[in-house]
Amino acid sequence: MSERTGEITITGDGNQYVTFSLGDEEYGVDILKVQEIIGLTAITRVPYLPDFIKGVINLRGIVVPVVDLRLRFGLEMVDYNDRTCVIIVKLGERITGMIVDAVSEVISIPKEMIDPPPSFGTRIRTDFIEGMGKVDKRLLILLNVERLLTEVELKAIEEIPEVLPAEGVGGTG
Amino acid sequence: MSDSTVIDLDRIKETFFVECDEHISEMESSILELEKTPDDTELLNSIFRAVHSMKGNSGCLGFMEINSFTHTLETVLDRMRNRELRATGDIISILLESVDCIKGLVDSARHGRESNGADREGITGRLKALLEGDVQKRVEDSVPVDGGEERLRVVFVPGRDLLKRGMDPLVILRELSTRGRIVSIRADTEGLPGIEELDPECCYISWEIVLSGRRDVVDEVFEFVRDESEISISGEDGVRGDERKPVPDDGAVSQTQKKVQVRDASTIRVDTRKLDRLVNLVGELLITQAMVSQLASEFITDGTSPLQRVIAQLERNTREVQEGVMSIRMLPVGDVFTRFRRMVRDLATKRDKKVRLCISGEDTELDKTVIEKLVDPLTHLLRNSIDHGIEPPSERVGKGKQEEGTIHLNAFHEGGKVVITVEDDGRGIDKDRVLEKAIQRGLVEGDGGLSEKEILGLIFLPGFSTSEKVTDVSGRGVGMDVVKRNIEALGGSVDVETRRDEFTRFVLRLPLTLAVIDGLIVAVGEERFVIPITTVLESRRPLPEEVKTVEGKGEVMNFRGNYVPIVRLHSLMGIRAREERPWQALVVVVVVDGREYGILVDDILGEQQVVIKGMGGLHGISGIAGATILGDGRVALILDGGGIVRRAFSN
Repeated sequence: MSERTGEITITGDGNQYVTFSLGDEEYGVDILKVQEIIGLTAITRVPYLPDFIKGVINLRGIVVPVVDLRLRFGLEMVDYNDRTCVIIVKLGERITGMIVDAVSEVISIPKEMIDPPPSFGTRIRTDFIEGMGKVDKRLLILLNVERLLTEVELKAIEEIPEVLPAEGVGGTG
Repeated sequence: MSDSTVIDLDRIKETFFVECDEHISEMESSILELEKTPDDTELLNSIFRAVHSMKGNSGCLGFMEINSFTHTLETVLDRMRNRELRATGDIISILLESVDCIKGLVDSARHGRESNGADREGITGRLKALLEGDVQKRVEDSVPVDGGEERLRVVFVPGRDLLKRGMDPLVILRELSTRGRIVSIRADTEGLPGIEELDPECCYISWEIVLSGRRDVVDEVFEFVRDESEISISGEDGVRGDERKPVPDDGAVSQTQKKVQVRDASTIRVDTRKLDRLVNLVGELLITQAMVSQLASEFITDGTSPLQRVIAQLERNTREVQEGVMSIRMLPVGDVFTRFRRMVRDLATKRDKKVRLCISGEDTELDKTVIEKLVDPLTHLLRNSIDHGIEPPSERVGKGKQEEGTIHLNAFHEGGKVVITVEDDGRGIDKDRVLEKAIQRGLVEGDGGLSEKEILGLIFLPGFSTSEKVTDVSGRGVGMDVVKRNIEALGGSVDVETRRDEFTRFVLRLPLTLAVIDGLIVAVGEERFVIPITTVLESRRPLPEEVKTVEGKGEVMNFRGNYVPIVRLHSLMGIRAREERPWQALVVVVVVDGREYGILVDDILGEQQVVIKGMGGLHGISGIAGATILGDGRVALILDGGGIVRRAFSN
């Protein structure tokens, strides 16, 4: 991580974003929230979670949940290939992986080139969007990762059916 | 039990001091954070909790100066939580000075010195000024004194021939501890001759005991040994029987020193962080060892290969190292349990209630870290039981109950977990009032249409309290959320069961250890799972005629003459098995809640120690206890037998 912060020079007053693609759309995440980018490794499925949580991976001894962003946004599923990447995002102490089609580049977007999220017309929920970044002629959807991944967690907990004691099993006290 | 109570007091105090150190440093850093983000409620809550814990514990141990100071501080913090005071620079500095003041008070208490009264009064004054003539200037009343109790110094020199007459001084000392509260006890071994001159039937040791109790009651204890022993009972001037401030008298001091010396000979104190680091390293070692074994197995074709021998040796050594390291951390829960006897007694007296604390299962062993983190939650639960659960004697009699309430503190093993229950036979939790309060506090919108279980779950929300009164014990809405949070942080769970006017039972389920378990690695389709070995009875491939489908009950297997239900792991986990016919696959028989169940798997890959890892944000999935990393680097899920069975049979 230290190499990363050491080598990057922040230009202007804009933030730097890691950009990636899902289908035809281009997205960006704040680089300061990205710990690293890895290729797809073996995923262990975890049951009873929403489909978009694909499971957990071993990231150098740490077990990290991974979310398929296509599924998260309700886009159609595609087979993973050798361009598929996992963006490892670190929010506080929590580490989560996001599976994306391909990672493109790191770009700097000046603040004035970022518009607030549109109230309609996007394919994903607007509250996941931090803003729309304009770079040359391209339009980047800048994601609010906190919202996106906190929702994941909430959702995961909601999905657990209420646990009932097994039939005939008495109190435990 | 009674003799260990005597010895434990110093240890309890020491634990309290260590905890205070932790709370103080936590407070300090939180206050400094608060300076940057004055509106952070979470920070305020954490400062508040630290002060609250210190207040409660200091009260129980009789450090009244700490108790009254933290009470004032807590009132100020409560105002801040309610947004009546804001964390301005001035307030921050007063808070920081308060931290220093607590530090000083704790230090004085630890060394039995007088504290610097002027400092404390100055800050107390400033804290009170913040409250601006607030009504809540109530200073803590001191503990009520039982009639005729005083602090006594007893010197007991048993006659040399006491033992020959069939009397045992230990019995007398034990009896003494039931008649009064022992503050310190010191054995004088001066008279002990060398081993060659020692007559094992003679008594050479004498004792000096400082205790609080009634003189006549104490005197009675020596009834049968009075004639041949020297006994002197004297009062200690100017000290009320109930004040338990550590008195810097020779007895107490020399006793502590003596104990320290004795301990030094056989044990060393080690920073728990070093221990934790060691445990982590051992965990990594286990994974690496599993990897080496796996890699080696690809090269080994010959069963007598020296490589295989060395690998087997490595496995054994690793396991021994791991067991050794883990055993350092295992302690019986009794250490913590006994600590509550005093608290329950004092608190019940304070509340004019009659409460008996029953303790069982105190030999159940748990990881040290788990035990340490249990103290706060258990304290809160017990306080709650006394404050809100157990009714006053008159009310109990009116309900046809025994005048004396009972709180039962129990610990036992169940399916690889340790279960601790706190159960009182009080008034139970009033669900209607819980709901009403939750709505009033805005924790629930409308009437919510909540189930009974969900309503009970509301008591674990931060800021929830049904008590109208603010006391120094509970009722400020801290407590249950702390309990839940602490237990969940340990990978455990809290459940509450209650019946109106009958009982309230809190059930804490805790992992035995936080680090490593013995697991059976099983394969289902492409996936691997770990079943904790402690729950496994046996595994077998049933004969086709042993498997039957019973109407309404599903599949069962004949197991030792009984039919046990079969859980198909593949369908429960939503994966495709390689083999669906039980007589072609394997059934692992596990015990859950005292009943046997068969778990259908494709194959068993082996038995291995696995390191329990968290799963990022994915906790609380019933049926899954955690994850681990296997020798090939893949993640495998650790199954929770109870959760699996509940999932399979809940419909």
